[in-house]
Amino acid sequence: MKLPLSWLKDYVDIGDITPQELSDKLVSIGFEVEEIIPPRSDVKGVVVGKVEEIVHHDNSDKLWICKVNIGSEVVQIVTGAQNVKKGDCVPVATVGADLPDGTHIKPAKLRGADSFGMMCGGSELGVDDSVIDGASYDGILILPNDSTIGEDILRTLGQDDTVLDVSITANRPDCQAIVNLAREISVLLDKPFKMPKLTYKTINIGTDKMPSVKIAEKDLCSYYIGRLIRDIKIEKSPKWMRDRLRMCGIRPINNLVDITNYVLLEIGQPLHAFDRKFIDGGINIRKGAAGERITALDGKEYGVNDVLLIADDKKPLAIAGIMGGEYTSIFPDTQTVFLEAARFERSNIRRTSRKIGLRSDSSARYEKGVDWHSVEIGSARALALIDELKCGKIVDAVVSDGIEPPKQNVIRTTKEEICALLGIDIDKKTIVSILKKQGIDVKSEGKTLVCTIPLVREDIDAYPDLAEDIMRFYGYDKIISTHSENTHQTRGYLSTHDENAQKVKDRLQSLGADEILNFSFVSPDAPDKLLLAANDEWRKVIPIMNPLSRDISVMRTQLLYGMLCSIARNCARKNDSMRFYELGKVFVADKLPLEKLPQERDVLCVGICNDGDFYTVKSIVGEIIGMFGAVEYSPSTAAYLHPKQALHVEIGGIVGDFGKLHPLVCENYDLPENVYVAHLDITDALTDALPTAKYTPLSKQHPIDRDLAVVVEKSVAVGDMLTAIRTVSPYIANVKLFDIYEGEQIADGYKSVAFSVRLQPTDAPFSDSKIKEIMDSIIEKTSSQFGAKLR
Amino acid sequence: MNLKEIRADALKKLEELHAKSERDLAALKTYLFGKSGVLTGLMKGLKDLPPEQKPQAGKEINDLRVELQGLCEQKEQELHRLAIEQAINSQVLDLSIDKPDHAIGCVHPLTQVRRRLTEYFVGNGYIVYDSPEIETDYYNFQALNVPPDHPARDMQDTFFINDNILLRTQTSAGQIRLMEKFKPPLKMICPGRVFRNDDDSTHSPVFHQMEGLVIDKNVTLCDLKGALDGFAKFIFGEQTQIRFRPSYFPFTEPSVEVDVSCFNCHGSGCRVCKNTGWIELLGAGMVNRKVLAGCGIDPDEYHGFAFGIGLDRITMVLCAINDIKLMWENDVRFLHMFK
Repeated sequence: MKLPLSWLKDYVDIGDITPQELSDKLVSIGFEVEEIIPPRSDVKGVVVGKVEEIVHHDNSDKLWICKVNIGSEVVQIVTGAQNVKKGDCVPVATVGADLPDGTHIKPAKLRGADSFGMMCGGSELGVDDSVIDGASYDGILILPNDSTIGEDILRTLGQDDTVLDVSITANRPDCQAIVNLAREISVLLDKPFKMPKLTYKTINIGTDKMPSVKIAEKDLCSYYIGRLIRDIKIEKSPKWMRDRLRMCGIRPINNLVDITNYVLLEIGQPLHAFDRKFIDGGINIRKGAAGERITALDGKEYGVNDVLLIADDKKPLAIAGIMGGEYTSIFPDTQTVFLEAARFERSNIRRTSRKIGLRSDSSARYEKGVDWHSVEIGSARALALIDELKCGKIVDAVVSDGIEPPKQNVIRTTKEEICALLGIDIDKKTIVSILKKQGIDVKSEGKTLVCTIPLVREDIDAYPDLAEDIMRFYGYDKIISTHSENTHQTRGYLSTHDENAQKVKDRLQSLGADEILNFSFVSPDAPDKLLLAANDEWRKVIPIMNPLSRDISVMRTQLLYGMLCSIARNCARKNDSMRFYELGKVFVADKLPLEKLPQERDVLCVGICNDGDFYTVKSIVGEIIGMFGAVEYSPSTAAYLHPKQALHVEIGGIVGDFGKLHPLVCENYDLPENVYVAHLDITDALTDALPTAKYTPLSKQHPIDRDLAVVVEKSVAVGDMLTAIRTVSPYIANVKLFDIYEGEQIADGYKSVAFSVRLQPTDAPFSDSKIKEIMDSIIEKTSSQFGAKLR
Repeated sequence: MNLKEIRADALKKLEELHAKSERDLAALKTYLFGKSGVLTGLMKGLKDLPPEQKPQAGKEINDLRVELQGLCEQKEQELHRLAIEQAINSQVLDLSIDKPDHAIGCVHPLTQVRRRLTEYFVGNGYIVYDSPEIETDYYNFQALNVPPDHPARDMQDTFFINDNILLRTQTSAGQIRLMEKFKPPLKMICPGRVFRNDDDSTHSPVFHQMEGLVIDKNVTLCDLKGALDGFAKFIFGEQTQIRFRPSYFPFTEPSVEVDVSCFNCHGSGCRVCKNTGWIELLGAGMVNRKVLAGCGIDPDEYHGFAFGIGLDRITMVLCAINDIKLMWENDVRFLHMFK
């Protein structure tokens, strides 16, 4: 909220505190100052002058010599402008002045005549008609005749004020009003607070000309006051009011509209002014009927079925609290105004505003919550200003409807209760005094403090709120650090899930893989780009209703999209090689559209680019699976993988596929061809604690190594054969492949496989015949099961 | 040859041996001490001497044998040392080049910071609780004292799946799930991803928070300060101070914003703290009575405090990362800075 300091000073004397000091103090009571908007500093030494004499320059047709009174003296100025005449008030850049464009004013001689200064146009001062009339004119800015001679032009232009942009938290809608913020500041600075003028003269015309007011929906509109103002004179509002509105970001329109906006800022009460002549019969606050429509002030037509309306006996006049209808605003010929001040229920305004897609300053204010009190104060303040600015004659009759005023909230608490929450001791006198300063009535009944809360403070409904209001002014720096000495000891630990996940990450780190993070939402094109079948489970993505963009509009069912995009981004940046992993959540919907919360499953995705081959990814996967149990693979049918270089895993709570990325997928993601990925759902593997490894005795006997070379058909899976060999004897400690050879000396369609076998005796050394026996059974196994012949 | 001649001959031969003559040395030893070596021969010849000369001659032969054996051994060691020296000299490498044969993977800086924070809180008796990222309106808002159409909803732009299901905007939802499941005393942290419909130079639509919650009898606002003070010192160093500023969150009362003294300039003002001496770190407060009551915990018996730490923000501050987008780009060069 914008808080011009001059406006604040109307209601509390802030002394000579600097804007920075005030901001710091506001922060200490919970109002963050987002910006201190200083007065303009790019114009210096420009004052209001009055042209007392103007004559033609002897040596020029176009130049004029003026005598200008600038308050302290009368100076001679030569000008080429043609719109200045005797008696005009004009901005004068005196000798030594600085202008926004960098001009520095020095004494000059123009065609022999001395000139001590320069008269300025609006553009030279960096202003236009929105600041002051005549400023957009190409010539000298002619100021109003009642301008103060010698006054600094920034003051005349209303640009000499400091404005604080204060952020108001959602619990303090009352402070969306300058008076209420002023009251907080008065407590803060310990200075008296002055209410704005709320009195005005009225005329009596009897009550028969007043429209009646009837609220049909009292839960949505709890209070409504209407006043009548006759003999309205629509004109420009005074400059000070226009300046203040402008500083707060509101465009001045005319005196009446400006007053309603002024009151919105000052009191926080939205008001609406209706032209009386368009009201047929009485005012009804009711919900719109099916098919009912209204054209609002923005010129657009809105369906208002079930929307709270201000209506007369025949038609809707306004969308309650949001915007007036086109025929009910103020026109230049308006003679009588019906002025509305009302309290509309905030959540209904919020809902309606979102439903029909229409927001206004008024609806924004109502959404935050307008308190009961502001309705009457706001109405009175507007009338006082109407009276002061002589906009019209105020009729003394008041029409209103509403529920009984709510009772003030009473909170019974004790000093002990408050201090027990805070953890520090504050004496009772201090507590009472701080609360009273904020307008809270406190009475002691024995130990009990009976606190009566003013209606404007709807945020206070229990003793912790009072504790907060005490601390705001007592000072949060008085809170000390204690270490829960009076609470229970508790046991802290990682869940099994988190501990396992951490171990997986540690393992991957030691395997040289870098952890990456990708968004949880992806493009809906991901399944197509991954070549997934029409019925693939990964296509069951959960869409977001209001995504930021299409690229991130559905919840991910796989991590490949993010992985491949990350690799592609790196490749585009000419980063050579990547070995990445992401351990993240995917979202599995049991049913779409979603009826209950989806499953959130933990997936490990590995991606390798220019950093190894199929066997690299296979060994990484093997290391990870090996943490949880035996390693076992089957053929993969994953659509996104190379059909000849892919395997499937489905063991001990791990399900997934890995291998070389399908060349078409590489094309879809703009990737080089040698990308290898693994995608493993490890959710179930993470649930059980990993077993602690156990020692098995080391043999004291020397192992025996024997090499073998066999010839098998090309199609034989060597891995399977080596696995089979391991089962031949419990004494086989290891079988190590060291060569696969095809070519010369080997028949077409065959390959030679050379491997070394390590035999490990346990208790006694092996005899030659024992070794031969084992080796023979190995040869027998390879020949019977794999058709191998000894080479 | 007599003993003298044998000695002179042996010494000469030993002298002539050079570095690569281990084999010659072996031959010399055989010539001297072998079965048919000269000294062995002399020994054998003793039996032909008169008995009175035997002891003297035997001693002389033996002395020479001991002397020569010692010299041979010395020579052997010398030759071995020379051989190794030679081998060493042939193994010169260019030490200025690198041939890396293994890579160390990098853990994302955010994970590193998350682990460190977790370590602190677990050590202080907190459990780590995981809560869903896709949540219901109830857990993300209503149970946290944000009823439908409440203006506090404007504080957080929400991604919706439907009217009732959304992407959690705060890890605070974990508070409710925990309080529904367990009885106090409770101490937990709930780290995880949160989502806001917000994307500009300082915001990412996905970011990370770590919620903290403590519920027990006698918990105070000072205890909250103590917990956060300890955490700030653990992360930013012992000299770190924290301060409270009043603020508003619907689910805590009183609510505070917590600043830490700048770890870079220790309060004198620098670029890291934008010349304020303080870094805005997190929001916290005493758990609102309505939230406790809604979870079946008697607010007259129990107090609680809660805090929400922005993990991305702490990571960026600690690691001097100036653009939140870097956290999600996964540029290898970026990741490798955090080994």
